[in-house]
Amino acid sequence: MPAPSPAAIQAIELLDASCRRLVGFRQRPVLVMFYPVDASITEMDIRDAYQELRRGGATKEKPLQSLDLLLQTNGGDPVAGYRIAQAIRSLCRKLDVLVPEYAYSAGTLMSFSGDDIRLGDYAGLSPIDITVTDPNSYKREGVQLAGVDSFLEFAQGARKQIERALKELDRDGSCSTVDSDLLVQMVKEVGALTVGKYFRERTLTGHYAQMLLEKYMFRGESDYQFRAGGVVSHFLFGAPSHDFHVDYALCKDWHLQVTQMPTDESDITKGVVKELRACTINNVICPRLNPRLRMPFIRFYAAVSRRRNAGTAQKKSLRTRNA
Amino acid sequence: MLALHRKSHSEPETLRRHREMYEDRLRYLRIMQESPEKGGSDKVKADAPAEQEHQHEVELATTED
Repeated sequence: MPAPSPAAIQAIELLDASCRRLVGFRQRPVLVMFYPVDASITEMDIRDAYQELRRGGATKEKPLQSLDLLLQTNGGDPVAGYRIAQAIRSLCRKLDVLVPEYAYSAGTLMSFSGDDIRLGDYAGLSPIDITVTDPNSYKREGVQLAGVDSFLEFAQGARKQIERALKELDRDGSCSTVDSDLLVQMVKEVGALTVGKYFRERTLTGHYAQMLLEKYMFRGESDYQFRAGGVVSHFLFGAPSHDFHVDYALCKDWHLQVTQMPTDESDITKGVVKELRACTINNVICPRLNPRLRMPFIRFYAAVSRRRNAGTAQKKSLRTRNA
Repeated sequence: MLALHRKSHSEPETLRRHREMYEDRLRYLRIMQESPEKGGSDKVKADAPAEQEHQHEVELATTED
């Protein structure tokens, strides 16, 4: 078998070095979950994330004391996001989620499982409302629930405005059916079942978010249910659009547990993402699984101190034996 | 490409693990394609906005495929 090209080996070595630098800086292991643009969070990632942590020696009986999750994603399946988050939390006691640039949508849902979310410079999250996409379409654009919400508001507003105009024309008692007409048209275009699906899925995503926030981020707080409910409400209904960047200031306003990374940490995490992108562009990692889907990069990097200790212990034991 | 397809003793650990995951997924997707009734057809996703900058990267990567 031919060996990997020297360029590929060099790119991977640079990537490994940047991740080890982060581990050294943070003094704790890191699980890197990187999704290039054409990769989305799927159920297939659950097993890979779990196995990577197991490879690092974590079990549910003996979980890691602390772990960083470096997350960069545009989103994906919220159910998978929730399951990945639970799988990771079952194998560590404390989790900090590092977001160098963005963890959108289902990635935002995943980040709710952290004790703390650490945002890099200009990094952010997004709303967690859902988007329905056509599985047979190659287009990535879907219909957003936020769009349906806006349409409902628009229909109600249209009716109010028309009835106000009628009143001004001294036609008291006249009413308009413009709102129901508009809604009938929308249901015709989107499909009744799809509209029903939107609302069902939103309830589900909200429930998952509430679970994660109560169990991890706000655990131990006396008002944990209230705080979790407030955050969920903002992330489900507080944004005007799904394409909405929730930056540090907004996260704080929405009462999420977030910290701004110091510049050094921000630079180091962005350095990891830079190497991941370079590897992806050069097809060293994240190859295409099919024309629509790329593979994500999921990798556990053990804590440096543990390795050093292990090495020192080995040397000591050798010295003892030699003596 | 594809460094991932090449197996060798000099293959870095990170590359080897990534390749194994990739091959697992290809197998899984093949099985799902062969028996679509087993695959999840529900494609409700929390897709997020595509970014212009990253779109560019995809184009670059695609041309190199």
